[in-house]
Amino acid sequence: MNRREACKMISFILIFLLLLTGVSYIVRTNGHVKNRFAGFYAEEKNSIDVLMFGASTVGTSFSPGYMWGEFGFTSYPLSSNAQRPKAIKYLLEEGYKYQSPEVVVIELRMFTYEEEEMKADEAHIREVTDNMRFSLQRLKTVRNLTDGVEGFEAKLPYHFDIMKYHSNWGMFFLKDELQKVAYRKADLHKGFEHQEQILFHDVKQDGYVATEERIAIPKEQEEILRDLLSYLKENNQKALFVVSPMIYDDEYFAKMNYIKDIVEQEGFQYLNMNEVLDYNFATDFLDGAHSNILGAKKCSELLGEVLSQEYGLTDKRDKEGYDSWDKSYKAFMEIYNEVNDNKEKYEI
Amino acid sequence: MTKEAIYEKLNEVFQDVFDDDSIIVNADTTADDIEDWDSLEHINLVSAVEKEFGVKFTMAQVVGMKNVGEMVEVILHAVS
Amino acid sequence: MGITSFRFLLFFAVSVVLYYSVPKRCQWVFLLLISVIYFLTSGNVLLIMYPLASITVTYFGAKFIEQEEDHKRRKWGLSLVVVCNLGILVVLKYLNLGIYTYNALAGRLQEHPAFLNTLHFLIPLGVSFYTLSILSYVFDVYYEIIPAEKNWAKLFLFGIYFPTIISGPIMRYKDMREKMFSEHTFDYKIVTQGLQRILWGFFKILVISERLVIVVSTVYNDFENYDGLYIVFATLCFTLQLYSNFSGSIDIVLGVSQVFGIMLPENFQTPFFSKSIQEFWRRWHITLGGWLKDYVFYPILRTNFFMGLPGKLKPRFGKKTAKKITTFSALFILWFAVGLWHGGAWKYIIGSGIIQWIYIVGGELAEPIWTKLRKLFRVNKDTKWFSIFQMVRTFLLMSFAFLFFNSAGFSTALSMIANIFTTWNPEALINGGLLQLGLDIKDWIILMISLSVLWIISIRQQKGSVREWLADKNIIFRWILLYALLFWVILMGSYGPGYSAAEFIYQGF
Repeated sequence: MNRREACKMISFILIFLLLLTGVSYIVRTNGHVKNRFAGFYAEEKNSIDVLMFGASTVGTSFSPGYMWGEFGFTSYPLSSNAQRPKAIKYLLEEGYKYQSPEVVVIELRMFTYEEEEMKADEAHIREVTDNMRFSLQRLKTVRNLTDGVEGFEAKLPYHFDIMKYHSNWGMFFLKDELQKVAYRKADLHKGFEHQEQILFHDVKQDGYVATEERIAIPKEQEEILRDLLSYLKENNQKALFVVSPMIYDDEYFAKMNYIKDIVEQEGFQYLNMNEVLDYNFATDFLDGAHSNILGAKKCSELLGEVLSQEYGLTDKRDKEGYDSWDKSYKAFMEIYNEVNDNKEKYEI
Repeated sequence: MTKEAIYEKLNEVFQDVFDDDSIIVNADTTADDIEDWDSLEHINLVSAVEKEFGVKFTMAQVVGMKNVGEMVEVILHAVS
Repeated sequence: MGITSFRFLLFFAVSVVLYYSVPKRCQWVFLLLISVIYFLTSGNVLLIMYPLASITVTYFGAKFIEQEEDHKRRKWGLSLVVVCNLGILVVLKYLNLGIYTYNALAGRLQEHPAFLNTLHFLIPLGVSFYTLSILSYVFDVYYEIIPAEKNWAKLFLFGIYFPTIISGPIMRYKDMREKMFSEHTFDYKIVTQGLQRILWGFFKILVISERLVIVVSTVYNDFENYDGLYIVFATLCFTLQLYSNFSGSIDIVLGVSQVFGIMLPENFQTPFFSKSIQEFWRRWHITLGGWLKDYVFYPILRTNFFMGLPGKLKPRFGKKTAKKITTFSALFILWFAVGLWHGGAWKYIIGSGIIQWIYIVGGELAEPIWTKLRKLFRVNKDTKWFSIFQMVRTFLLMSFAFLFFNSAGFSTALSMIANIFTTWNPEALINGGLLQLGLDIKDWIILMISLSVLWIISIRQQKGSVREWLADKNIIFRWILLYALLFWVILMGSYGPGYSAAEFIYQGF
C-alpha cells in the first residue's frame, strides 16, 4: 500500500468517526438534560463561577439566570435526574476541563439511596453518560458507572450510545436537535428547568420540623462522599452542600444530619434549606420533591445570597459580554411573573 | 480415426441428442452455442458420445471439457 | 459470534491488521489459527473434535487412494471416507428424522406404540457445509482431478476456514488450493472492494432481513389469527427475508475473505431474475447445486443401472420418453438429496426438494402445452413483458415452496395452505391490517426504500460489477455514496439493545 492509499484509508476512517460523532449527538434523546449539557459545552471557557451537581431538584430549584440578575455571578448545573452520587466526581472532572469554578454546589438527596439500586438504574446512569461529549473523561465515566452491567456486549451501547438511539433518526427533522451536532448549543435558561404548575399539596401546613437525630447513610454512599470530599480538598475547591426543600419524613432528615457531620468535619459548609427558607409548601412545589418556579425564586434567592456573601463572588453585572445572562434573567422573570400573577391558572 | 471422421460422427450425435438436424459443431463450440445444452443434457450428450465412439470418459474429463475441441482431443486420444 | 455482531467486526479488524503484518509465507498458518479460535468460541470447545476427525480421516483416505493402483481398493478407500463423513452428518442431523417417522408409523400401526426417544446432539458449526467441501476434495482426488494434499494443516484450513464455516459457500479444493496458500500483498482496491461488499451484506441483513423477520414470525407463529391473505403476504415477505439474510451473509463472508485476498465462489446471482425454476437453482445457492450435480447427479447417471435404463425402457415407452424417465428418476434422487441436506424434517425434504422436482419435471412435461397455448394466444416469448411474467412466476413458485421451509412442520404447512384457500380476507390489505404485524408505517417506508435500492442495484448487477462502476467515479461521489449507505445501515439497521437478532437462518446447518 502506497502513501496515497494509506492517506485515503485514514481520511475515510477519520471523516467517518467525525460524522458518527455528530450523528450520535443528534440522535440522543432530547429533553431538559440534553439541553442543559449541550448548553454547558456552549458556555465560554472559564466563565462560570459556580457549578452545581445533584439530582433533578437542582435543575428545578436553582436558576442561574435569576442568580445572575440578583447577585451578578454565573452558575451552571451539571445535574441530572436521580443523579448517582458516584457520578459527581467524574462530572466535576469533566467540568474542570472547561471551567474553573470558585464554588461547587452539591445537592445531597441521592446520598440516601442504595448503591445496588442505582447500579441497576440504566435510565439514570445514561442521563449522565449519554449527555457527555465523547472524550477520555467520558470513557472513564462510562467504565466506572457501568459497574453494574455484565459483559462486554452489554457495556458497548453505553460507550457507543448510538447503538441504543440510532432509531431516533426523527431527530434529523428537528431544528433544535440538528443544531446539537457538535453538542454545543447555548441554552437560554442556562440549564434551569422551569416548571409552571402549582401542586397544592396536602402537607404539614406547619412546614418543616427539625430533628436532631442521626441515621447512617448506606455505607457505599458514605465512602463516595468521603472520596468526593478529599478530591475537593486536593483541588482546593470550595464547596457548599445543600439540602433543597422536600416533603419528607424525619428519617430522611436524620440522614441529612449524618451527612452534615461528615461534611462539616472536613471543613465544608452544609446548608439545609428547609431550616431557613420561608417556603410555602402549598404554592411553591411542583410535587412533593421539586420546586415550581415560585419555589425556585425563593431557593435561588437563598442560594444566591449565601454564595455571593460567603464566597466572595464578584458582582459582574456592569461588565461587558454577559448578554446571554441578562436574557436568561429576563426570561426567568417573565415566566415567574406570569405564574405569580395568575396562580389559579396554574394550579393542578 | 481422423479428426474429420470424428467431427462427422459428432455432428450426428449432437443432432440426435438435441433433436436438431441443422447442428454442425466445430472446435470452439461450447454449451452456450446450442440451445438446450444445459448440465442435464450434457450428461446425456456425454453418454451418447461414449456409446458412439465406444469410449469411456473419466469423471475428470466429463467435468473438464470446456468445448467440443477438447472433447475431440479426448476422443482422439482414446481411439488411437 | 454472529457475523453482524460488534465482536465479529473487532475480531475481523484485528485479524486483518495482523494478517498483513506477519511474513507472507505464514499468512495461511495465521488464518488457520484464527479459524480455530473462531470455531472454539462458537460453542462447546469439544465440538472441534468433529471437523478434526472428518478432515483427518479424509486426509489419510485421499493419500491412500492416490497411491493405490487397484481400482477396487481405491473404491473401498473412497467409500470409507464418504461413510465416515456422511455418517457423522446423518447421526447428528437425520437420526431424529428416522425416529420421528418411526414414531409416526408406530403410532398408526401399533396398538400400544413403543415410541423411541429423540436424541439431542450439539451440532458443530457449519457441519453441513464443511462436510461437503471436504468430500468434494476426496472425490476430486479419486477422479484424479487433483493430487492429494500432502500437508494436513492445509487441508484442515480448507475445512475450517472461518468465513465459510458459518454459511458456505461450499468450496472446491482445486479452486481454493492456489488462492488459500499463496502469499497475499495488501492490495488497496481488492481490500476496499471487499469492505464495500461487507457493508452491502450488513445493509441486506440489518435493514431488510431483520425487519421482515418481525412480520413473518408474527404471522407464522399465530396463523390461526393472521389467516388467509396474511399468510400469503407473510410468505412473500419470507422469500425476501430469506434471500436478503442468506445472500447478505454470503456478501459479508465473501467480502471478509476478499479482504484477506482470497476470492471465494459466488453463491447467488440475482436469482429472482430467473425465468424458470431450473435457472433459479443455477442462481440460488450456486455452490450447493454445483456440488450435487458433480458428485451426486452425474455419478448416478453414469452408474450401470442408469446408463442401461433407457435401453430397458425403450421398447415400452419409445426412445425419447425412456430418456426422459431416466433423467427424471435421477433428478428425483438429486432433489430428494437437496431437500434432505436442508434438514432432517419432511418440510425441508418436500419444500426444498420434492416440490422443486415437481416444478422442474412439470415444467418440462408441460413445455409443449405452453408452446401451443402461446401460439394460440399469440404471446411472444421474447418480449420484456413475458420475461417479467416469468420472473414473477418464479418468485411465486419459490414462495410457495418456502412456505414449507419456514413453517413449523410439514403438517403445519398443509394447514396453512388449506387456510389460504378457505379464508378470503382481502380487506386485510387495505384496512390497516398490515400495520398490525409488528412494523409501523415508518418501518414499512424504510423497508420499501431499502428494497428499491436492492432492486436497482440487482438490475445494475446484470450489466456488470457495481463496485467496478463505483471505482470509476470520482472520490467525492464515491465517498458520499459509501457514507450514505454506511449511515443508512447505522441509523436504520435493526440492532442494539431492544432488538433481538433473528437467528441467522442457515446457521444450524
